[in-house]
Amino acid sequence: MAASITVIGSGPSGAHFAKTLLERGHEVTMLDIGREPDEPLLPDASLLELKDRLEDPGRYFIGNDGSGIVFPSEDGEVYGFPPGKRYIFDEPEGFEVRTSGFEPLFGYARGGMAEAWTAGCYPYDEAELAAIGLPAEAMHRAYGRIAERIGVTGERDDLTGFLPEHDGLLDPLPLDAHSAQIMSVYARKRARLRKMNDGLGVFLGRTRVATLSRAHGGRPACTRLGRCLWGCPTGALYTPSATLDACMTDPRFRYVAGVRALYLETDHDGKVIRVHARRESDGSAYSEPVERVALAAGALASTEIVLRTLARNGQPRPELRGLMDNRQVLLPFVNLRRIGAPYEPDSYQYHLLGMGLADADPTKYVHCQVTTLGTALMHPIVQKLPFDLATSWRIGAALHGALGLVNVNFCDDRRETNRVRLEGGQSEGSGALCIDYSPAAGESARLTKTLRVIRAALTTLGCVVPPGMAHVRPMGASVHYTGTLPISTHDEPLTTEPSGKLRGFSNLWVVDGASFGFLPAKNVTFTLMANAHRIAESAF
Amino acid sequence: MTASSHEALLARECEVFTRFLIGRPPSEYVVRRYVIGHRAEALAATGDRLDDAILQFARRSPFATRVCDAYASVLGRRSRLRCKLVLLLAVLETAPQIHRELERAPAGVAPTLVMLVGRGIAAIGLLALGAVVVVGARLTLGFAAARSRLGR
Repeated sequence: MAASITVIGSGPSGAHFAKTLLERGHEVTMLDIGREPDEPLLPDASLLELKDRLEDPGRYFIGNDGSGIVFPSEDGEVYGFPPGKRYIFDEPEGFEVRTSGFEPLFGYARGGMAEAWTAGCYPYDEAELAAIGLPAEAMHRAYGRIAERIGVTGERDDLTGFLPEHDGLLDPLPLDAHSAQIMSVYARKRARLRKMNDGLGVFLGRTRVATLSRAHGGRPACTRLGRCLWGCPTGALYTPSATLDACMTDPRFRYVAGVRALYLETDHDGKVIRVHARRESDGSAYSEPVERVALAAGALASTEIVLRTLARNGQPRPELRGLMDNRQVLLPFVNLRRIGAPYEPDSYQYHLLGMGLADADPTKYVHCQVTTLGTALMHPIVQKLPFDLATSWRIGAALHGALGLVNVNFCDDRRETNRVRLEGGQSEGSGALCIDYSPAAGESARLTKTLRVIRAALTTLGCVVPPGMAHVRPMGASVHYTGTLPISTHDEPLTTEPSGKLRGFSNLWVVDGASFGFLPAKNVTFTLMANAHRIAESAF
Repeated sequence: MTASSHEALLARECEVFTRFLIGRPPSEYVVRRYVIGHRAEALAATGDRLDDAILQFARRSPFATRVCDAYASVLGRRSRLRCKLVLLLAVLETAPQIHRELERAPAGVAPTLVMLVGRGIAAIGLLALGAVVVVGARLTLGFAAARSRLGR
């Protein structure tokens, strides 16, 4: 029988949850803030052509307020924030969040924060899925279905041991010359790298990305314009708004944009009967009745909705524990064998290679994305050299074809100290969101040891990490928030059943990362999509 | 300072700094972008007296800029001078045509290594000179402060 489901949020979870529900014949209403980007400028132009052909390229690349510039005060960041993506994260007036040890981002775009992702699609292995609380077989099928839907490119290689195979994998994107050179050295040094990391091994291979190597689902193949960071103008790099576009063509889909859900009104039996929201345009109240509700606003926003619902139901100072995010460390490197080689301006801008560090406990696997810096702006990097900027620029230009970046990702687990709560104001929709986060004990030692292994591996590959260039990103920067409403097989309040249903409510499902009981090192987004698809298939 | 005189000051500053960075004067577009770029939050803060003195000295000539920036690259990374130069660099690397000039580099391993070594040695000399200039400025400011205290 067809059901009517209200989905809050349009990110990777919400878009794929809605799409699967529609495919199964259900009616879907989506409530979303849903800000839209400007039309892409000169969609056929490469990065360099864009600099020459735009009337005011500075406005496009660095913005009138300089938001695309990495100033010296922003220690260690390698990419400025593209002005064209500000619409995703710019906080609305009156938005208040208090944080300790955490620098969160909230997404307001149609398609959610993954409108700014780097397209990494990494299926979790059985141990990681078990630690999260997800069924391996159903998830394996869901990975295949999502891959077919969005188009994931990849290859069977040494990383396959950490990235299980699934259906729907397309041929990998072509390698740029720098990445190909690293892989050729790896082929010669593989045996040596396998002895590293306490004998557990360092592995290199192709990353899996939702960027097309051939036309798929109405989207074209990547033509290597080098504009990924500023927003793929052709749609070859998948973002959830593409799935939302597909939902829009279904007459059973109703999209309500411009509203920010605040809390859920429940009856005495814990049934959600109405969603209350605020209009983005004028701050006025908006509400509508619901039959069934799915939270897909992203872990922090969904957590906020649950907290405000609890506060409205009379719970003083509600809080939810176990917030997680991936710690990320950026390691710029110079490939000595590439000194004097030209850089390729017309190349894919994001990672084509991945590096994996095995661990005796498979859930502690460390995942790295290896990016060659073909088309990145250079001022963030050259300013870190200990020379005057004219000299630094000349050195940077001479080494451009040899520069790369390793983005090291660490797993996280749920800890009671890491919590999200509401503070002050008990009236409906009021009160500030507060986030407290502290890293796991021993994190510093773990980082030091891991980075030592990665530096040694890079040296073996002929690359060096210049001293003082490593940058430990603040917690919150990876935007992989999870863990506040964890899946549990035990009947505990405010946990999520494996089916996705939130305990304490009779018609409320959690389909985003809030329900994850563990956060592996690999980018969570692909698993968010797959899990949302799994819940939509099994629960409705 | 009026808005127009402030813009004129920024335009003069842009002229000197661009000569330092790429060896020739800026285009009108670069000047306009440099002025607009000062809306950035990182450039809104005012510096201390030493910061101001370094900036003022750096405005004198491209060579003075180079000497002051050599010092700032090691001991004043967050100084106003450095922030302004990073802004200008970002403008230049996205400006029509100029970005292509900036990307020009020696081809081949040997010319690249010769260039790197030469630049490195020159930079060390500049750093030493920059340190002398800034220590001099520090002493001058210190004497001036002491004199005004005594005068009071």
